[in-house]
Amino acid sequence: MARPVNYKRAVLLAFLIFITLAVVKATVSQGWQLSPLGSAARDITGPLQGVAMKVGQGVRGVFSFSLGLVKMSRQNQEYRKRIEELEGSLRIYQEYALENQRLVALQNFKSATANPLGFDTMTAAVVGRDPGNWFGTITINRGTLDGVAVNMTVITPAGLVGRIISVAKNTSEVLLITDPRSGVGALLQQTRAPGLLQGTVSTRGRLQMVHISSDIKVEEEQVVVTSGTGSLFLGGIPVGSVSKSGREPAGLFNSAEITPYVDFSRLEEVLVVRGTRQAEGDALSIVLPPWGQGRIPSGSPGSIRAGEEGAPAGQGDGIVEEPQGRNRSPATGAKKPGQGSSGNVIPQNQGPPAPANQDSGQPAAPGGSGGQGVPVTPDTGGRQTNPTHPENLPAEPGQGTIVPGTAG
Amino acid sequence: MRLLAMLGLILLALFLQITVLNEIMLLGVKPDLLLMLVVFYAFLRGPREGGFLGFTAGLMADLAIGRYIGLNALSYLAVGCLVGLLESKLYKESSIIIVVLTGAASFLGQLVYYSLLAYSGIYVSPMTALSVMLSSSVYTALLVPLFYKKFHRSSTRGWLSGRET
Repeated sequence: MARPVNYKRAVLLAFLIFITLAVVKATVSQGWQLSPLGSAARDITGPLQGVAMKVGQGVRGVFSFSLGLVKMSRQNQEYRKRIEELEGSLRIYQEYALENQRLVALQNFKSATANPLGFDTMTAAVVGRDPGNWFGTITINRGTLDGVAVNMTVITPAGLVGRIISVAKNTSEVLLITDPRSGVGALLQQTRAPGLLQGTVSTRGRLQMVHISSDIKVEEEQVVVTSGTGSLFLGGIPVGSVSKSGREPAGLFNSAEITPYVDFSRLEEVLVVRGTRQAEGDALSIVLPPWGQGRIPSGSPGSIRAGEEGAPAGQGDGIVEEPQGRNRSPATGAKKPGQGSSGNVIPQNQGPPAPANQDSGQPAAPGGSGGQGVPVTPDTGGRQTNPTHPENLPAEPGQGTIVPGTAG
Repeated sequence: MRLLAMLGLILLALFLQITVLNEIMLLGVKPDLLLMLVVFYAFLRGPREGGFLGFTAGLMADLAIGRYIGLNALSYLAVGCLVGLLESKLYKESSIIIVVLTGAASFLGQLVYYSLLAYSGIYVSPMTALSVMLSSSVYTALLVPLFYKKFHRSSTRGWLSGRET
């Protein structure tokens, strides 16, 4: 059945179409010219369009920013991870660089100082320390397999560190000179006055030099070197400088507090002196002081233990042939009869290690061994003997203060 | 479980003592982490367990050094026993109390150690020894707040709270 036509709607639709056509007709422009109606419409809607555009851009910005944030966050994480990796690598490289610097310094020292003095040295790394605050021992990563033996001297470019007291296959234990059980025969460099260096407590980083003859004036900043006289330690190794001087409680001898050159809390690499050979003839002209200012190192480290019988009096007095122009002071030469000679070499690792408190053959050991209380003539010998810290010395070998041939 | 955990802590402390603690030395001394462990444990568990742990920790330190075996064992034993006696007498939650207690115990432990050094024939001048004792005790005590809360919590609710195996 046909649906009845709604005339009202049809008329309304026709009217709407007619109006629209009329508007179309009215807004048709000539060429690109806006009609008045189109112009009015644009003027009205223009600002609205602007607002709408800005809102749209804002909304798009919010969406893109959020999406960007997620992306940036991911990138940020990756970058951070990368930065951490790179920083880790950088730290490792810095560590290598520092280690390299230290090893180069050790190598320079070996070629410029240790070799001319006749030291056969070997580099070792410190791998452990005594856990307490009282004793001063370190463990190094060299043992019998590397030729290390008990009583070998341990040094750094700055000076004396200590000596080997026990050896395993791959590690060794070093008794630092600051350990209260340690004793080292030593000399005041300028006056050649002998004395005995005793450790106090390792962590204090100080040494006590005792049994210095009372007629010797001990002044601050004087350099102390190992005497090498009948000692387990090689001679001529700088130990430290005098920081305080005084009289022993008994009043018979002078004593001094020594600040060691070596920073024992920062030891990382050391040199083990495996043996010695004849020093080069002009060693003292190229070695930087205070190295070699005691005696020319001789014999074998650890060859003589405290209390051992040495050569008969008058034989092998331990004074090796010294280079031309080199003076030996009465103090360093003073040895009691029968005292051992560093020239009489005993194979290094024979016999047990020395007992505690007898580390050195101490020229000035209690009870009066060689050199103790002997009037000593200061050894100037034409040499300049200004105390000089090894760290402050010029880097080039041969710039030392000793002029060949001027001594004696 | 608790003993195993304590053994692990002792080994860790000993390892740190031998290696990295040398890098944080103040006035030439390093803190005594082993003693700190002994004090904590003894303070929370009493003299018997404290003394036992002190002796064990000290013995391990002595074995690590390899010489004069017994020096640390005896000094830590004394610390463990004496601190343990205060277990029921002092308030355990207070950091101040444990700081002071650790400082005093450290000084006492070092004093025993010093006496044993003299007994072993190793002479250290009294003034030097005193300065080492004081600085070491203060340094160790100052580090206590970093560790005590965690240790206490673990002793009451954590790994260290279990029954003895």
